[in-house]
Amino acid sequence: MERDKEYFAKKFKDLESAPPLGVWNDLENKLDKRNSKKRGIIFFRIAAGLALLITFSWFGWNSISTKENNLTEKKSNTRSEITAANTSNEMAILNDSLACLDEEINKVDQKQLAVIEPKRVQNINSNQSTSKKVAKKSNEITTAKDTVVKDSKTIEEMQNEINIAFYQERNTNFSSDSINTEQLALHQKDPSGDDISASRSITIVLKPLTEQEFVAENADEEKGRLRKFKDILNQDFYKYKIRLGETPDLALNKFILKSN
Amino acid sequence: MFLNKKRSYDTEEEIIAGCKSNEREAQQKLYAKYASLFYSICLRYMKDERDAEEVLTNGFMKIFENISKYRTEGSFEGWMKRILVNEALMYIRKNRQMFIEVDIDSSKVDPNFSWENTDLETQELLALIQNLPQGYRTVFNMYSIEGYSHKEIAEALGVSENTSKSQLSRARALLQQKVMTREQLNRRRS
Repeated sequence: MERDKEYFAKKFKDLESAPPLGVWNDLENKLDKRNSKKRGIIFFRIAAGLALLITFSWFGWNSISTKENNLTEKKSNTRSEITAANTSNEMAILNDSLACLDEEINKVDQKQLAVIEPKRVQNINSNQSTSKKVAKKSNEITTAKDTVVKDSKTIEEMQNEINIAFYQERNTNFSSDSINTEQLALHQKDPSGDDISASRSITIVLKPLTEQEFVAENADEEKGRLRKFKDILNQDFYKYKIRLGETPDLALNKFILKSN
Repeated sequence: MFLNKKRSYDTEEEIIAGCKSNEREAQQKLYAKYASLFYSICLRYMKDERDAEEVLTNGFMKIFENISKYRTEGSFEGWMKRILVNEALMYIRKNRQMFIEVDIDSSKVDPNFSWENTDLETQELLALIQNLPQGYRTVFNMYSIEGYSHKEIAEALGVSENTSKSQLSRARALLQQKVMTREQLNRRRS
């Protein structure tokens, strides 16, 4: 078999047969097609690469912008929250202070009457400890009110507050039966300045003020800061008739506070 | 601006370099140098010339596409021949039937027959080979002329080594038979 191999290898080693001329033309056409296909593939690859690059750049830019916007929004939200928190804290303090005031007023018996005379009413039949208590209480109220009302008060207003507190304390023992008759001891001073200590029995007829009457009487009152305080008291203003011949001026200088 | 230097493709190295650069002139030179040799190879594997031309064209296309992979180790001609034979086999597989296993013992080869004693021309021998059945022809060409081993033939054709051996045996027996018949006819004429 090996001899056959050598024979055939030698026979066909240099055998050549010229191919037809058309074979090269076919080959050339195929080569041209392959080259143009390669160029097309390269072109599309470049185009696809550019498209991907542009797309990712656009998405990347958008995500950066979104992140920046989110950060800005977060900052402003945080600021708002802080501002809101501060405001709400202030409001909480205000509400607490007003609640304290309400409590103080609610402690006084509804049926008790207190006569308050601005500028003139003095401590009546009070002992030192009660006065101190009241003073302390009034200070507390003043302090509470200060947190709500930031501006300064007149002496008159402060005196009113103290007096109210005092009479609230003093009149806790009066029963409802004694509404119309009350023993009040006042240290009064007449216009000449002489101190008149008198014990009077005053028949008091209670008549609640309407809103308009109150507004008319208090037209000169400063609104706003003391509104809350006085609004609470508004319900308790009563006009009273003094049958014992008190002068209208004196009557006008008085007002009856009926605490709830 | 760069000047385009016209290259001359006189040596094989220059032709190879030109083909790697996809230069049309180099490709044409390569074709001109090896086309006749490769065409005769294609004629041995294919029954008709049309198939042989198809295989030749496809073979050269493969050579030009893969020439960048050629390492200078080994013969450039042998490298191209292997590509061409593979292309021929692929063409056969695509268009022909698969081999059928044949019992080796059924082949009848005259052990005393000697090819050297025959006075056949190459072209005549080529014609005899072309008349062999496809399977026989392929194995005969790969083993007896290209020098492939049965293992390599089996791997290339996707058959067993025994199939390759049987096909070769059958091919040799048939060729012998044809040559002997032809010689008998010539003797009678003379």
